[in-house]
Amino acid sequence: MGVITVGEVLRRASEFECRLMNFYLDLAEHATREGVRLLTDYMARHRQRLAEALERFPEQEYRRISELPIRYEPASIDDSCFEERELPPDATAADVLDKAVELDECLVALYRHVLQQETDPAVRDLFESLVRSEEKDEIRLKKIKAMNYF
Amino acid sequence: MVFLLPILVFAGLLVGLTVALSVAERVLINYGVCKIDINRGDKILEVDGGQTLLSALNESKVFIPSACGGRGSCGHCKITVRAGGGPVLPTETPFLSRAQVRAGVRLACQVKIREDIEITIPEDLLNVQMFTAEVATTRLVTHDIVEVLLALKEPAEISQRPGQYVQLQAPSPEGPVYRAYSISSPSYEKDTVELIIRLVPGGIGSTYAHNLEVGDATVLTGPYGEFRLSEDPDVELVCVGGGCGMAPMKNIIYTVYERWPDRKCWLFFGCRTTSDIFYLEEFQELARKHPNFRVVYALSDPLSPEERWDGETGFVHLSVDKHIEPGGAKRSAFLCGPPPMIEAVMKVLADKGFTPEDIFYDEF
Amino acid sequence: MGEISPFVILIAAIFTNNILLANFLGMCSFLAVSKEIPTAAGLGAAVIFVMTATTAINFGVYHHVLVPLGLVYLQFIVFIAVIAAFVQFVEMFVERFSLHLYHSLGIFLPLITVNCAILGVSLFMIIRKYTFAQSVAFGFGGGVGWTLAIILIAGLRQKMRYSDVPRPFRGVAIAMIITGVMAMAFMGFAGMVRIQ
Ligand SMILES: Cc1cc2nc3c(=O)[nH]c(=O)nc-3n(C[C@H](O)[C@H](O)[C@H](O)COP(=O)(O)OP(=O)(O)OC[C@H]3O[C@@H](n4cnc5c(N)ncnc54)[C@H](O)[C@@H]3O)c2cc1C
Ligand code: FES
Repeated sequence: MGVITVGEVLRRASEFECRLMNFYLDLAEHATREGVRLLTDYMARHRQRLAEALERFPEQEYRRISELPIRYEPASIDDSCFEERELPPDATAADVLDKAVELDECLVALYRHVLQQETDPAVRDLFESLVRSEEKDEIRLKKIKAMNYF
Repeated sequence: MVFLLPILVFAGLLVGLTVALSVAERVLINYGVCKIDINRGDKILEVDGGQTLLSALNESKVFIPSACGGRGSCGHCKITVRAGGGPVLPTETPFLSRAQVRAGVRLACQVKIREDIEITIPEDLLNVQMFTAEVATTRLVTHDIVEVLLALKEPAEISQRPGQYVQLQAPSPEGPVYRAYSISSPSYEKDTVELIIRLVPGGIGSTYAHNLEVGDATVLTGPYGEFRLSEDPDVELVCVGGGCGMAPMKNIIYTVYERWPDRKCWLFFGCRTTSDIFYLEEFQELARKHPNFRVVYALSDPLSPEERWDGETGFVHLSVDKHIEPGGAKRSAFLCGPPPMIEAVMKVLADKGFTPEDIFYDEF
Repeated sequence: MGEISPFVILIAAIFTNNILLANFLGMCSFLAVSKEIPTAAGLGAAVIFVMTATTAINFGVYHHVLVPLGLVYLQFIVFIAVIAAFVQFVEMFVERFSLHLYHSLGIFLPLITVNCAILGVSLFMIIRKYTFAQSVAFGFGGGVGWTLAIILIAGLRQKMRYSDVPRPFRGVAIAMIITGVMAMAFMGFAGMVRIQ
C-alpha cells in the first residue's frame, strides 16, 4: 500500500475510460453484425463521463483536490476487469450491452472505494457525482437493450 | 427486579428523549407557510415548508414529471428556480450541465422548501391534471408489446397534443411510482388515452401495464411534453421510430390526417424481425386513403428462411437516407427510439438539409 | 472538590487542561474538519453548545436518577443516549437557522455524537466529583478549549497550503505533528491554574 493522490485515481479512471473506448472501437471494427457496429460506435463516442464531471468542476478546486492524498489505495482496476471480457466478433448487441454494464461496474467499484474513506467534501462530491453518472449510464444501456432495436 | 429497574430507567429515559425531540421537531422544522411563485406571478401557492418542492407542487395539483418517485435518480423533475432554492446539491449535479446550473435549473425532488421560492416551469405544466381511468381494452400487438386503451372517468376529457405523454401510476413496494408513456390515441379522441407499452423484464411500470385487465382502475397524470406539431399544412412531416417508439407517431399521423387529408407525411419504422412488426396493416390502410402518406418499415436482422418480407431491410436510418430527397422544402421530423438510432437518423436528416430546429425527438 | 471556583475551572478547561491538547480527546472530527476556519468555527460552536448542555443534563440524570436508584453503572449508555438525542436537536437547530453551516458541516454534525470529547467531559465531571456549577463551567470551558484548538489548527492548516510539506507528511500526518507542537505550547499555561 502506497500513498496515492486523488489526481492519480482520476488518472487511472481516465485511462480505464480510454481503454473502454478503444475496446468499443475495436468491437465496432470487427463486428460482423451491423447493429453491433452501430451500437459500439455510438458507445465509444459517448464514453467521457469523467471529462464531463470534471468540466463541471472549477479549475482551481480541481488542482487543489488532485493533490490530496488517499489513505487506502483502491484495488487496481486495470487488467482484471478486461480479462474474460473478450467478445467474439459475432457477439450480439445484447452481449455487448451486458459486458458494457459489467465494465461500468468496474469503474463504480473504484469510485466507491474512494468514497468509503474519509475524504475532503469536494472529493466526495466529485466521486459521488461520478458514481451517479455511471449508474445513469447503466440504466441507459439497459434501456437500449430493452428496446430490442439492435 | 435487579434487571427490571435498569431496563425501566433506561427505557423511560429514551421515551423522554424521544418525546422531547418530537416536540423540538414540531417547533424547529416548522418553516411555517411558504409561498411558491410560479412563472412570475402566474400562480402563487401557499404550502407548508420543510417538504420538497416536488411534493409541495404535487400536493397543490401542479404535476411535475417524475419517474423515480423523488429519489433523484431519473432527472425528469427539472425546473428553474429563480430565487430561494438554496445551493445545488451533489445529488443533482450529474443531471445538470454547467449552463443549466447557471440558469438555475434544479431537480424539484431535491429542493427543500425553507423560504419563499420563485420558480419557472413550462406553461403547459400548469394544465396537467390527474385522471382516474378504467381499462377499456388491452391487446398484445407483438409478443412483448401491449396496447392499452384507458377510458377516462374523472376528469372525463383530456386535451392533448400529438407527441405528448402521460405518467401512469404503478404500485410498488415503496409506494406508487410513475412511468412516462406517450399517448398513441389521436388528439381528437378526448375521452380515451391509448398507450403502447413494451414489457421490460423485471420492470415495475411495464409489468403492471401488461397485467392490466379490462375494468381495472388506473391513475395517470398528464399531458406532458413540449412538442408542437407545425400547423402549416405545407410542412412535410417525417416520423422515424425504432424498437417500440411507435406511440407518439401513431398519434401524430392520425391527428394530421383528420385535419389535413392531403398533407405530406412519412413514417419510417425500424425493428428486427417480422415478429416485431405491428400496426403495418392499419397504416397501409391509411395510406390507401391518403396518397400523400408513405409508410416504410425496415427489418434489421437477416431474414430467416421461413420469413416473408418484401419491404426494406437494414437499419432504419438507411431507409430514411434512401427515400428522403435532399432539398430545402419546409419539413419537420419527429424521432423516437434508442439514443444511438436517434443519433444516426439525425445525421442522415442533417445531410438532407434539415436544421436542428426541424427535428424533435423522444428518447425512451 | 467543592472548593475550586467554577471560574477557575472554566479557565483551566480552556488552557491548562484543554480536552483536546491535554487529553487528546475528540481527535477524529478535529482532524477531519480543521481545514477551513469558518467550518471549524461552526463545528466548534456546535460542540460548545452540545458539551455545555449535555454536561448539565447528564449531571442531573446522574445525581438525581442514577445515584438514588443505585444504577451508576448505567452511566456510559445513558450519557451516550443523552448526547445522541441532543445532537439530533442541534442538527435540527442548525438546519433551521444556518443552512450554509448545515451544508458545510455535512456528515460531521451527526458525528459529534461519537465525539469522545463530549462523553469525556461528562465522565470527568463524575470522576472529579464536580458540583453543578463546576460541571457546567467545565463543560463550557471544555467546549471553548476544543474550539480554540480546532480554530488554531485550521488557521495553521490554511497557511500550510502554501508551504512545501515533504510528501510523506502531507495531510493527516503533518496535522498530527502540529497538534503535538501546539499541545507543547499549551503546556506553557500549566502554571496558571491547576485542577484535578
Ligand atoms: C417521454 C417518455 C415517453 C415514453 N413512452 C413510452 C412508450 O410509449 N412506451 C413504452 O413502452 N415506454 C415508454 N417510455 C419508457 C417508460 O417510461 C419506462 O421507462 C419503461 O416502461 C420502463 O419502466 P418499468 O417501470 O417497467 O421499469 P423499471 O422498474 O423502471 O426498470 C426496470 C429495469 O429496467 C431498467 N430501465 C429503466 N428504464 C428503462 C426503460 N425505459 N427501458 C428499459 N429498461 C429500463 C432499469 O435500470 C431497471 O434495471 C417512455 C419514457 C419517456 C421518458
Ligand atoms: S423525481 Fe426523479 S430525479 Fe427528481
